[in-house]
Amino acid sequence: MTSEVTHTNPNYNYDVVRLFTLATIFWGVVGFAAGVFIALQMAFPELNIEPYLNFGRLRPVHTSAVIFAFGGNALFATSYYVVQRTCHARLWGGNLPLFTFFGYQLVIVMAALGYVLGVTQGKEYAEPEWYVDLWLTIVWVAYLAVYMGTLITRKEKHIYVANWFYLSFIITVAVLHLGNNISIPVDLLGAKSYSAPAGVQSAMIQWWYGHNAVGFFLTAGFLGMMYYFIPKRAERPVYSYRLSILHFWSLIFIYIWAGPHHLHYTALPDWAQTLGMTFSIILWMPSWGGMINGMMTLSGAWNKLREDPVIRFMIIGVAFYGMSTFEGPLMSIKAVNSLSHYTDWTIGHVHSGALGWVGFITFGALYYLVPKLWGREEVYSLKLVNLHLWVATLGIVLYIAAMWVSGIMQGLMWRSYDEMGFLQYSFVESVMAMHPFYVIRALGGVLYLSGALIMVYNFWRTIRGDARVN
Amino acid sequence: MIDWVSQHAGVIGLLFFFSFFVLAALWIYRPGSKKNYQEQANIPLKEEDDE
Repeated sequence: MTSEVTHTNPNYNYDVVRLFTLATIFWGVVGFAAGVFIALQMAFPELNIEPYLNFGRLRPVHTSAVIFAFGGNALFATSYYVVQRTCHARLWGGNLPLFTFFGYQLVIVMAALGYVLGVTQGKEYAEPEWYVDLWLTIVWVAYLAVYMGTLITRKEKHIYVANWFYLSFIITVAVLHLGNNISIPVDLLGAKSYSAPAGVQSAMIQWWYGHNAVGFFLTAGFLGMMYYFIPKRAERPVYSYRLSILHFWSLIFIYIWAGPHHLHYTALPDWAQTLGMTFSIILWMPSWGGMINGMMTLSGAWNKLREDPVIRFMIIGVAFYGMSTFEGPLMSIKAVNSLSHYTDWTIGHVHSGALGWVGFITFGALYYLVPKLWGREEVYSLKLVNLHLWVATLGIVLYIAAMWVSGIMQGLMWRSYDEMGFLQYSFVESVMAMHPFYVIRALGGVLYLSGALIMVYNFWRTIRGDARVN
Repeated sequence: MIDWVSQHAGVIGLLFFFSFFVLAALWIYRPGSKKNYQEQANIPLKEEDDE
């Protein structure tokens, strides 16, 4: 690392935050690039290089890299920063935070190597086999210990709301991870294991895990980010602290029940499907409460949205959060789901949340954080921040619009009957019809990746200490 | 007992969640707590020691 920190309070442990920040940027580029490559594989199947680099093996590399490597490192970095700053206490546990850094990177590398070599337990977003799961458990317990230790040794009377969100993310992810990975290895020297529950129970546990990975990893954790970095950058307190508490309790109580909407029209009992659908619709309320709270923080200072591209990143991120948490409950309604499920619409929905919400709130937080961590006044170029913003936004719009069209078309083609009652289209006809939209989607991904590379350049110059008059 | 609970799981769940929500809302919006919450909202903004 190139830095000498000149400004920091010696009590704070910024070293580990810097490491996690650099890892976030690195894995972000890797994950986005993997996404672009598999998008191109969908458009041009010749790009499937057998056996190691085919779509089936690279897809979990992409999803794990963006969710757990990019998103996970961003959560580690920001949670370690926020908990210290809002507790006025040094990160607890001596070298334990450093252990969580190297331990977590090892999880990522072991998982990715496994995918490419064909080692997987076949559970979406929980693909790593038992030996990685056990190692992650150890790292995660250390993470919880560091976080709780810091909260307990805090010098501030209250625990600021961002920490509540981060803590709920850490605890719930631990519970989900343990619950969904109960499996029995075939032998102690082999990678293969079998899931302890089978059949529909296994499916329900998997989507209880999968949906709450979205709810607690990609939502609660990043809401913690929102509740700290938007007020800091806007230099004003959150719109309503009371609403933030109501937001917290409603969100965590409701999210945990929404998983069954992934199993509509399956062997899962009908009442459980309806339960999942109902809770998904109720979830709309806390989601929008939180979105309004984040946005209205700028109330009375809307000019900042025009003047500061970093604030713009965060607020557009929150707007995407509002959009995708409107779309999600809609898609959980059984009648809508009968059209949308198994189609590209789902992929578009996930990416409006992932690229728009998780990506943008993270970029906003990073643009705030990097100058602070390396003792610079501001990032090298705010103009480049603005360029990143619009290139990435255009990429997202291309991506989700292409997937809406392609997904709805695909769903309609699958359910079309002719007058004799036969299916009107063969499956391959629906695949061929999607080709142009796959190309547009890949283009959207290229734009998003380009935006991230602009960010890398900007951070490289920032960390080097270059100043540019904006 | 367990039969009775599973027979009425829907209503029990509804009452539990709804009353938790109402009690939480009443507590959060209790009169006289405004100043306390404003102080908490300012926690991130008052740490100017090293900037």
